[in-house]
Amino acid sequence: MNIFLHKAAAAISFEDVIKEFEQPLYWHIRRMVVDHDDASDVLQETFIRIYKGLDSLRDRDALRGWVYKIATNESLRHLSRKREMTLSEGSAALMDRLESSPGVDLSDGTALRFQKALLSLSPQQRTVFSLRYYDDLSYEEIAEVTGSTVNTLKVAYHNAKEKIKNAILA
Amino acid sequence: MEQSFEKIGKKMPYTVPDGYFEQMHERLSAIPRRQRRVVTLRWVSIAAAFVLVASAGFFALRQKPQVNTMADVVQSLSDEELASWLEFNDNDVFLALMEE
Repeated sequence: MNIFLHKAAAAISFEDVIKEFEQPLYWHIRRMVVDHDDASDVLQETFIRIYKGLDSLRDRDALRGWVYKIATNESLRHLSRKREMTLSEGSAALMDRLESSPGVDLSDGTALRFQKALLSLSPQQRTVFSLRYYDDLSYEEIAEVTGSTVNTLKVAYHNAKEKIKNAILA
Repeated sequence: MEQSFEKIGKKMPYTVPDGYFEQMHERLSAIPRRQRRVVTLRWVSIAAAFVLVASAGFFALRQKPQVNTMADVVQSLSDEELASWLEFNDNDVFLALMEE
């Protein structure tokens, strides 16, 4: 009986996942790829993968980390396909795009500088900072996304924050 | 230092077109239907390929090799060829020996 209850509690429909995560994932992807059209494509690809893998997800508590992991991987795959990012450093191409993309409000200088500083980070630091700062994921959840240890992530987040502060104040 | 983060908060310079999330919700909700269609089409393609290969194999096996009968050969020969062939057979040493 308990098993059945547990299974019922753990079951989650695709529609529920869409409702809960479509906007947070869109913004997470948008911060990674910058361009709105690219973010839309990556979001759709992310949800196709979520749909295909949802039945195999056993632990309901792991859902958040799991969907962010798919979104992050799809974003990085998209960027590497477009050759807009190396694995070790931030992307000048993405920073340029931030200023030239039609879906960016250039009038808010502070927010713009903040995003530029974020884009100057390495993909790992950017992912950690974005998931922690904007999406409020726990370090344990981010560890699921990135495959890093909690201590490594804490250091990466601290360093990312310092770099962003310095960039804003510069 | 913390002031700059507090001041900015989670504000981003990004914007989306009007009604974007409503449209996106529709599109994402259609994924199961589209995926079922893709899977169905894949199975139809596999079935069609199987039927094609099986049919080709079936017809290839059914086709008997063409064997010319003696009557066909004789009919295809000209009068001269027929005469020389008959002459050759008459002079065949082995046939003559067999007749003896």
